[in-house]
Amino acid sequence: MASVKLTTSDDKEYTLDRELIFQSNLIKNMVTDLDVFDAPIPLPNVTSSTLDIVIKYLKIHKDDPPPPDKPIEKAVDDMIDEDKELMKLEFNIMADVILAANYLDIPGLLDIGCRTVAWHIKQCKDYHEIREKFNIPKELWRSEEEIAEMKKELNGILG
Amino acid sequence: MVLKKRKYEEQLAIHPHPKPFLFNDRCWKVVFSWLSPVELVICEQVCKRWKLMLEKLDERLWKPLVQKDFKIIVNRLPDSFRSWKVMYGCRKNLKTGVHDFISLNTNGVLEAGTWADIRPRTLEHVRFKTGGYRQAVDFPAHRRYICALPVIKDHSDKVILYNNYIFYPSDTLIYGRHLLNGRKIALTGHSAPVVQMKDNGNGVLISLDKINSLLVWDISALMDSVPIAACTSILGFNGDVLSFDLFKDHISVLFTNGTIAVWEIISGALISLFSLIQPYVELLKIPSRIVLGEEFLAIGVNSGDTLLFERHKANSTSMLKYNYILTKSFKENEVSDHGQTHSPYTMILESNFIITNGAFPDELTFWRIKPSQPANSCGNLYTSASLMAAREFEMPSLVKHVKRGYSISELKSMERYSIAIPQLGDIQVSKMDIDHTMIASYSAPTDNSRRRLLVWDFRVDRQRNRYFEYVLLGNIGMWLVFDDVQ
Repeated sequence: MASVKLTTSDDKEYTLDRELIFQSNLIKNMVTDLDVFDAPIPLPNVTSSTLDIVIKYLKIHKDDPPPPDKPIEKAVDDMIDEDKELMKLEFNIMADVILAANYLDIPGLLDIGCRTVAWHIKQCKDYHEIREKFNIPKELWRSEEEIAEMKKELNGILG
Repeated sequence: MVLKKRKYEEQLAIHPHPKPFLFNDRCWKVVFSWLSPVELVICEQVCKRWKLMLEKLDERLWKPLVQKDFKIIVNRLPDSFRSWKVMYGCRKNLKTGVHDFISLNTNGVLEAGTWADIRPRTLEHVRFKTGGYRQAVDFPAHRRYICALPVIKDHSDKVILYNNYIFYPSDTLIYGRHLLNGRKIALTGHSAPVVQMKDNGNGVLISLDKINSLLVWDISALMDSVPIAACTSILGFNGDVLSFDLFKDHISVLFTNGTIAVWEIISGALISLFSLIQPYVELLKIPSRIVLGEEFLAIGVNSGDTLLFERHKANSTSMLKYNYILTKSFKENEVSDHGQTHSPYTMILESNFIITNGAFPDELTFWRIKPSQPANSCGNLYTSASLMAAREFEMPSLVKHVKRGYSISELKSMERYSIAIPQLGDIQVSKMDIDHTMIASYSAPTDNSRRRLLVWDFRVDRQRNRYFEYVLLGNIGMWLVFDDVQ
């Protein structure tokens, strides 16, 4: 079986089955368009530890049917257990994985990643918890006055 | 647009992403699309970056929510809303009863409130100042409450303001109440309950009762506040009246069988008589209406179509003075998409524009109508009319265009107060023709406790400002009249 070579930003080389890595639209297009098989494809935005997680995902979903054109409405945590397990990550790693999924154009991974983030947001009762959870630096906070103003607005708008 | 974009990018540069989540906006878009309205609102408060992103993603995020939660198909943002988020909030508030009325002025400032807020105050004080909250401020000292009139259930359709009088029907009588001294007069003459009243702004009031008799009253004689016997005349005709309108000294009547007759009020002479063609006769049901203007006559039927007739001088052999010829029928394109505003609740016709219901319950559509140039100097002044397909929402251009029809003060006040109809969703009656300078919106109650009406006065630059509000105090419906007594 033909394989594809990838080089991560920390210079590790991976050799992967075409079928596996072709879930990434980026790699698929690169390989088929440019017709390069032997030269390793550099991934300057992806570290090896991130790619490991991406590969785990690709292995879980190797035999998935192609996604339907029209997205089905799902609950935010309606995903298979393997995915849930996979997404039990620290936030900074998860962010890297999501960015990698975006960069490599793997819709499924991007979807579950974003859903996990959304799920985490949903667990928070107010903006304090979100700030804490996502470790948002103080200098980016909106001031209390601004928020008080917004809350009044909310009473008006969202009731 | 370019400018706006650059500003957004500049702002993004000032407010970078929080460290651990150096997502690009695309990832955030996916994340946010999983959140509920309440969660989205919480997210806005987190940091400046998120707020900016959420504002940028307004259509992407809130439009599906509007469509999902309120089961309406809207392809574009109604012009009366600043953002989809605001539209969502308004709809929700009306649905849950937080607000009883919502409207906007030309600046896009949202005005909303509940009847619980009712106390002497000006309309400005319930606007959302930052697009946000409601603030009821006590009425300024120089404005005072004038009088409160107990009214019957559906008065809003029948109240006439003329000079210092407010006229309202009560069964077979029509009462006129002086707004300053409260003096009350009664116009007697009907033998059945009065169902409709209109005036021409020049002291002629016409009332229609249940048994189809139209009475013409001269209310100009009441100007000196001495009640005198009003002169009445009765027009002779047969048939059920669906709607009537008057313009200067002409009255047009639309009958349920599709016949339209135009009389001169003073002489009682019939000046034009014609019939609607099929299939429009089928669509003539309440609240189909007729409006009469100088050169045009328009009929709104229940499919949402407006039929525009232009007046032509009849040839000399005819008994009648004028012919009305169907020039154009038109309809808001988007009406068929969502099927909300079919009936012609609002119609106002001036010499070169016509305002009809918009595609959405809170919108009005301005159509510019343009009589063509005179064909020759001695023929008819206008030979045919062309309808410039124009959905005109921008007041400045409308103002420019209506200069001929409106006096300056009215233009200014129209500019200031705009014409936006409150009552989203469950609107039943909204009309603009109380005294031609006021707009009222009324939603018939499903239960008696929640009756809604809002009257807007355009006449801010006339002698004084007047604000009328219909309120329920206890269980008694009242007209509150606020006047500026500087």
